Amino acid sequence: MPALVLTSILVLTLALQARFAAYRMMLVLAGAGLSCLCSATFGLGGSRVLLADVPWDVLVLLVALGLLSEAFVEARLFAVLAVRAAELSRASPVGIALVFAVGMYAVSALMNNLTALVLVLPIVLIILRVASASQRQVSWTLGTLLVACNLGGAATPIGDFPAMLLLGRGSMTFSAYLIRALPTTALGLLLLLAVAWVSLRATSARSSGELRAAISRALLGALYRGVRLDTRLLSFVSVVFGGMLLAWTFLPASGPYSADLVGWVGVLVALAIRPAVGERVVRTKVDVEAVLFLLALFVMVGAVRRTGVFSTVAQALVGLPVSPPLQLVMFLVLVGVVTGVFSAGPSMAALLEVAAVLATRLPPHVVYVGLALSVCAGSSLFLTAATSGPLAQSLTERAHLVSESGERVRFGFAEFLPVGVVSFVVIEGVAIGYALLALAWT
Amino acid sequence: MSERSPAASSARIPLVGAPLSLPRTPEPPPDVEERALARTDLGSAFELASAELGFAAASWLFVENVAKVGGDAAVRALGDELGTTFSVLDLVVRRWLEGRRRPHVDAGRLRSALHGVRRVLVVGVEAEHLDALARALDPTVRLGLLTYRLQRVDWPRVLANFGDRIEPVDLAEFQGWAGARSGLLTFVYGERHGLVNVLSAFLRVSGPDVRTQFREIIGWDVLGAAPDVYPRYLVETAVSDLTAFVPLAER
Amino acid sequence: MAKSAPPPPRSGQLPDLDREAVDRALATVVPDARDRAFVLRCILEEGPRHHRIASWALLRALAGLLESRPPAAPLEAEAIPTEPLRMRLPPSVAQASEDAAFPIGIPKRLLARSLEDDEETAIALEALADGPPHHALANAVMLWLMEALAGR
Repeated sequence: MPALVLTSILVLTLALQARFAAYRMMLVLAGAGLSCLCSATFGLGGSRVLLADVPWDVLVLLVALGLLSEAFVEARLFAVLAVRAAELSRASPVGIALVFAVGMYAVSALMNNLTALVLVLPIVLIILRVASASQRQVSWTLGTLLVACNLGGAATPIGDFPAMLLLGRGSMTFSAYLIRALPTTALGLLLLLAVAWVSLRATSARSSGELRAAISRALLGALYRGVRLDTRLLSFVSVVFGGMLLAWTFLPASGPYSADLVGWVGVLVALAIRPAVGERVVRTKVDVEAVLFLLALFVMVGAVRRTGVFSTVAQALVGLPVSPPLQLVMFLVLVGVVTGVFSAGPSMAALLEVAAVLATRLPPHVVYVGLALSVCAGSSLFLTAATSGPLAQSLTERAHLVSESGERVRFGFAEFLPVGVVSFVVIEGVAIGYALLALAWT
Repeated sequence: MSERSPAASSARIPLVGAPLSLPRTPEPPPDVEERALARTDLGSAFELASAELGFAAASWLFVENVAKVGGDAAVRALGDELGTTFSVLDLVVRRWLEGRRRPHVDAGRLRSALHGVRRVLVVGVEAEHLDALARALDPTVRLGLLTYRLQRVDWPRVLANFGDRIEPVDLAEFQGWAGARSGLLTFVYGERHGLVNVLSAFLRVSGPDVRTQFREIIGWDVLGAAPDVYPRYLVETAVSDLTAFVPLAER
Repeated sequence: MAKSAPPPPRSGQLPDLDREAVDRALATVVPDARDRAFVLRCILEEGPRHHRIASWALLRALAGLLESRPPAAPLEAEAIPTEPLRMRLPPSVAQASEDAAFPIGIPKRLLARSLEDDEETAIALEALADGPPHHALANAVMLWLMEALAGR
């Protein structure tokens, strides 16, 4: 009975928050509160017990890395990089998709991709506007960019929430994750870019392409003419960030200096060079909404965990009359689809519990990296599954793109879907391929 | 005065891993003008450029780059295509074809006109002129930019070019910049028969109640001649409404 | 005086109105030429046409009187108590401006001498400073010219 009730609350809340995004916070907080109430009623422990199970270190790491990204924003790194990327791409349709995708992959691997996207997307949108880009070009350019962000986020243990959760929980060490995830996500990116290249090649052959590209470059140069790197701030923050990376790599995960502590201390040291800026960033840039959302998820998942449901599911999975590699493949596909529907945060928080059981029978690094890659694939399936999707949609709407034929160009669920399906197949394929190869070699 | 958002900084956004619920902007279908601009080769791009760089700066940028790629014939085509919509571009195209080039921006005379002023509220955007103004004035003189324009403008992007030198000023709060040592500066798009072309924003902030609250009301000509075609994005006002008129410094 | 009435502009200059004499008369009170230009613009170029011309006529007459009477000693404007003439900014932004007062105030010495008591002076000052700026400023300039005349 408790298992049925608490699992229903979790699933129903996740479904409702995905369906009614405008009331997302109210819904997840209500779901978490209800979970606490039911858990207490069933004698499984009330809010005090469930809050004690919350991985606070992961939340601390999230906040710290978010603030560190803001420090780079203050140094105007992203705006300057985006203008340079526009120059490098020569503002050609294929060029902007490829250069910006690679750039966002790199940025997302190291810091908060949403922060970077807010500054990079307007520049891409200007190029698309000057080009009077077609619907196809807009869908593939922006879609490729978003999926590259997801891949970058999965490339390192600090890139995105799923990998951070693995690091924070001690499921994998920094370097163990990095050496496996970086090459596989890079392969995924290469495959994605190949598909994007094929899709965008046709849009390059316009008669006024050279003129539009020249105007784009000149216009961007003029619009961002006064934006200069704050080299002092950038140097200092970069050195501190480098130190944090070294600490994450070489300090033992089981030791007293955990990843979140490195993040906590590191970000404060980085912001200390400009105390006034640091104070403003800390006061205004921490997103309480995101922290509350994840907190509510952890509470709901924790309540379900205490009923033993995840162990039961995992046992059922490993009890299937198929080989362990096939069990893993089925699990990874399930992760991808569930992530597509519920988005990365909820699915990772819930399915990591199942993965933990699988990891007792299969090599843990294969399970966890496969899990992170599958979450990445699922995040790329629908526009709503990727956290950056609604942001891109909103910024594109504000850019009022109109194609050469005079039609409004959109970037919503339907426009992203072809890119999403292709990306899902590519990344899920890479995840499964990695898992099978790794199992074969282990 | 409105709080300045940091240059090149992002809006408050969620962290990784969490969903994002930005308010949906209503997305109207493109109106007749937008469709028309999109169908012209560079109409939509010029609309954006003129909003954030200014009509004169955008016109020279487009004309120079179009000439670089396609020569005078392409410049003429640009004028034919967009000149009737953008009168300043039409004038700049004609000047280019007459052999004239981008005028030199000299803030010297303007600085004299602003002597003794401690706060300057600028109406309108003209990139080169704003750059020159920011360089020419003593750093102790506060510079504000009225963030009101009939075109869509990404104001944080415009202001990011000036670091903290130019402050954004909301239309509802611009009178906070009034005072016995304050100046109101508007860009002027040519003068003819005692009338000058200005952005309509200038009329919003230069009513009879406000005129007595700014010591100087200065027009700075960025064009040198009034456009021939109907200036649909501009309005006329009398030169005598200005306390000083700074003409274009031709090269 | 202008030979013929100027056309009725909305707010343009009235080129026939000679402001030199008033400007000269005001120089000891408002030493900065740009400040004087600001004050005179508000009086002679802003507001309804009949106000502008009426104010100009009165000020011009007072300035003429002053010029016809050489001073025994220069007017010491700083020594005369003055009521500041504040700009009427919207309350929501009034605090934002550092100098929301005109560069000329209303002198109180002559009023204090002429009127019965402090209460009358206060009422008079309130009324003189009230109304549109071109009114209040014309009142202020007129009183300053009277102060100057009183010392000759």
